[in-house]
Amino acid sequence: MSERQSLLTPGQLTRLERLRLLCRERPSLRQGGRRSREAGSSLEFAEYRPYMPGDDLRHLDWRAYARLNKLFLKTFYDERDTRLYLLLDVSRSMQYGEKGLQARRLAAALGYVALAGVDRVEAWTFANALLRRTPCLAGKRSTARLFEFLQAEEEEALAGSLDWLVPCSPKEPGIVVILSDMLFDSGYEAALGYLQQCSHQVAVVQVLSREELAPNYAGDLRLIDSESGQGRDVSISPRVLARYRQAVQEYTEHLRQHCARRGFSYALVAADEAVDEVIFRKLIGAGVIGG
Amino acid sequence: MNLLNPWMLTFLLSLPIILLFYLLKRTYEPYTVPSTLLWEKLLRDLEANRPWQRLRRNLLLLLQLLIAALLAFALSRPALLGSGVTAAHTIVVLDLSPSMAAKEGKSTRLTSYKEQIRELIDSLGPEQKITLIAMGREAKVAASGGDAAELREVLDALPQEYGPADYEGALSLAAALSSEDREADVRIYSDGNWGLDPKLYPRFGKTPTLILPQDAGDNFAVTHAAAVVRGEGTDFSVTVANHGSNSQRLEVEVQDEGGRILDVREVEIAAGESESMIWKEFPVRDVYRVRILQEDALAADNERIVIPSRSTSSKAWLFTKGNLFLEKALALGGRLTVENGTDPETPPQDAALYVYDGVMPTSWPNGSVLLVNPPSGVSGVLKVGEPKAPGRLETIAPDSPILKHVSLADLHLKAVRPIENAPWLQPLVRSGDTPLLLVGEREGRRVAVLPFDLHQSDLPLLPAFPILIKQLEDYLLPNAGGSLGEALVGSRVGLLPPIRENGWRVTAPDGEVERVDRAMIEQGFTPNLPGLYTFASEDKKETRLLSAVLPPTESVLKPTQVALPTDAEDEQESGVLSPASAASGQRDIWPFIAIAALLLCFVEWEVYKRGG
Repeated sequence: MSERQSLLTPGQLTRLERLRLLCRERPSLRQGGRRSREAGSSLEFAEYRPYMPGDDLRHLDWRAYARLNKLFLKTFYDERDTRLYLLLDVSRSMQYGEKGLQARRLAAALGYVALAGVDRVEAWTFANALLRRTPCLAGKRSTARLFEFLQAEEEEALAGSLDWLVPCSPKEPGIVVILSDMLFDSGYEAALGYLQQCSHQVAVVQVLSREELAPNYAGDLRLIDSESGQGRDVSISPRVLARYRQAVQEYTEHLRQHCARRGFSYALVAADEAVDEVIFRKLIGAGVIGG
Repeated sequence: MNLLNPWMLTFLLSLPIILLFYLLKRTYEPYTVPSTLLWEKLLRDLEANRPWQRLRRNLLLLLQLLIAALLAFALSRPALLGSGVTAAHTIVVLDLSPSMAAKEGKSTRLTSYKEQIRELIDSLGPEQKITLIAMGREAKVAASGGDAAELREVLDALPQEYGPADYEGALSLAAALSSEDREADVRIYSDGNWGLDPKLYPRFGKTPTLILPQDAGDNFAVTHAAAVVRGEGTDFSVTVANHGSNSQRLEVEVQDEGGRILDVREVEIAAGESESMIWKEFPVRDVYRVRILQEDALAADNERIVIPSRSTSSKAWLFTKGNLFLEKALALGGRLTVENGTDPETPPQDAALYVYDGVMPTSWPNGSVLLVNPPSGVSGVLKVGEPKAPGRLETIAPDSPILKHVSLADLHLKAVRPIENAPWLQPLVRSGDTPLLLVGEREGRRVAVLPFDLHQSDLPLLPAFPILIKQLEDYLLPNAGGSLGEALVGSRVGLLPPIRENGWRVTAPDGEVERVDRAMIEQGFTPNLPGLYTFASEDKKETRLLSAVLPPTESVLKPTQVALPTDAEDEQESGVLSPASAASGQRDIWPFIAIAALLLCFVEWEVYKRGG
């Protein structure tokens, strides 16, 4: 339990219970606590429509028939749940600094919000392929299982990629939240596009360490990529650092615009930012969750 | 700026070595970052300019290169050229001889030298002083001290001279001062054409700097010109020399005193050669003017005034107790008519030469004097000692024109009398310690003494006797006839009657008129400019002419590098005194460069601490 508390404090959990996942359009097929646009069996009235032979007689509005001598069918909104896929990047680049921990915390928070809101949650960890996944969890009971899953150590850290999503992306439409630094050599555009094709609602939470955002290196360095192991010789000078910061800005801006064009939610999170700050300001602002 | 050890610049090779260290040996500290993805684009730019990109803006490397360059530069011992005074005492010797009148640019060598010395004086520091030595007819210290205004004034007043300069005297003076103050810089402004035997060079305390002028280029000179009147015509001969480095075709023009051109001749002269020309039957004139029409570096030696010699005879007054040899020898050549005197105390006033044989006059007569066998005693004009036995015969002045072609090796004589208390008499030949032949000048007259009895020697029997007497005549009567003849500028010319009378005036070539006074008669007249001097009596009825000419050696203008000896040689060997720095009077500036390199080292350290 102590490890679990290290992800989120009870106070934070209490505050998270007041939040709900924001689901725009595509609910799951299962009954849940979320109003759907589909006609269904909830208590919320939707509209009248003329009776067609074969319709369920239980939904006929007999009072209207008595007044107007016409058969009308009363339809109600359906209440469905939604499915949250938490895609947690555990590649080697995510294990530097507090990036991994921050991503796990955010995954735990989002998962808890979903479980508390009668939605189903699946958590996947990936590097250059899908590594582990939980079964579909539902109900606050499953919180412990989710947290346990999130805290488990990965056996072998690997290079990161999103290419594996194309063959084995989640089948059932839902909300896909990718928690990653999004620094993939092979790019991210194709995978994100594929997720959209599969009718998923996509949210990208990019977690970058402070060192990546604004490094304070000095001298002559051989920068070794933690994933590929390849080194790059750089003589650091203030000019080079300025150029680097500009490159980071360009990269994140490109990702943000890509998400905006496709209707994805996007949030850039620094690894050392406070969890509360991220959840209650950034994620709500990005439209991932709402009050 | 001058490098005293230029080969030390090979240390500049350390610069590429440092560069190589930076390019090859540069170590990159390994540092693992989550991903180099973000660096990729950046690195593509950086690596495109490899390897120079790494060197750019690398302050540390720049500083190190600069330090290495400065150190190599300091090792090569750069020195500022000594245009300014560097030593506490600077001895400046300025050549005033005629060759300094040669053109250098728009002015003359002397003007250019004065300009340089003026700069030297202007750079004089408060504790420094300059001694200015004039290398002219008279070698003298013109000025000495640290007062720049006074030095400038004296320097400006030093005139261009046209006579032979006392090079040896000036060098000795400078050497003596230099030996007294061994730290003094000696700077000699001269062309080095001193005509001195290198063995005679004085030793300096510190190697002097000889500042040579620029090569003036071609120079032609009339080295000799003479004219002899023979009957109705004048025979004229001219020698023209080409001191330049190219063969030249020269035009030589002869004018008479009225400026009328008598003839122009062209002559081709090879470099360094001279050519003689002879004219016959020129109309008889008092003065001829010969000049070279081509322009050259030194104009003063292109023209010469020629006063023709006339075969006129003068009177020689002889008192002897019977000396036929002497009488005949004097009459030889027809130049002199000999008159025998009877009383040695009352000689006639109009003779040019007075010969006393066996007697001593109590007072000097009015002309040149030849004393033969003066008796012992103190009563006359000279003090003569008792006869001495002759010793080994020794010629003291073999170059004297009096002894030209005269061989006295076979001379035998019985006794010779020493002349006492007459330092103005210069001995030419000695027998043991006693002079055998003396010449000199006394109160404007020339005197020669043969202090032995001709009858008790075999001199009259020697073939050299008539030659000796003839040459003594030439010496005693240098300007026989109506003119004073030709003399070098700066040499003394004895004024013989009738110029000794009152009221004579002399007109110099530049038109200046001067009265002939007593001092001039006693000490002789010294022409200062080349050209024609005219002496005229008060009533202008009688004139005497004098042609002053340049010393022919001064026509050589090519600068000669002279190595002057110094006492400081052993110091040089021990390395205390660098020959290069002493020779040029230069100021080393390496300490300043080394200090700059040291300061840069501190800067480099600071930059290194701050992480480059």
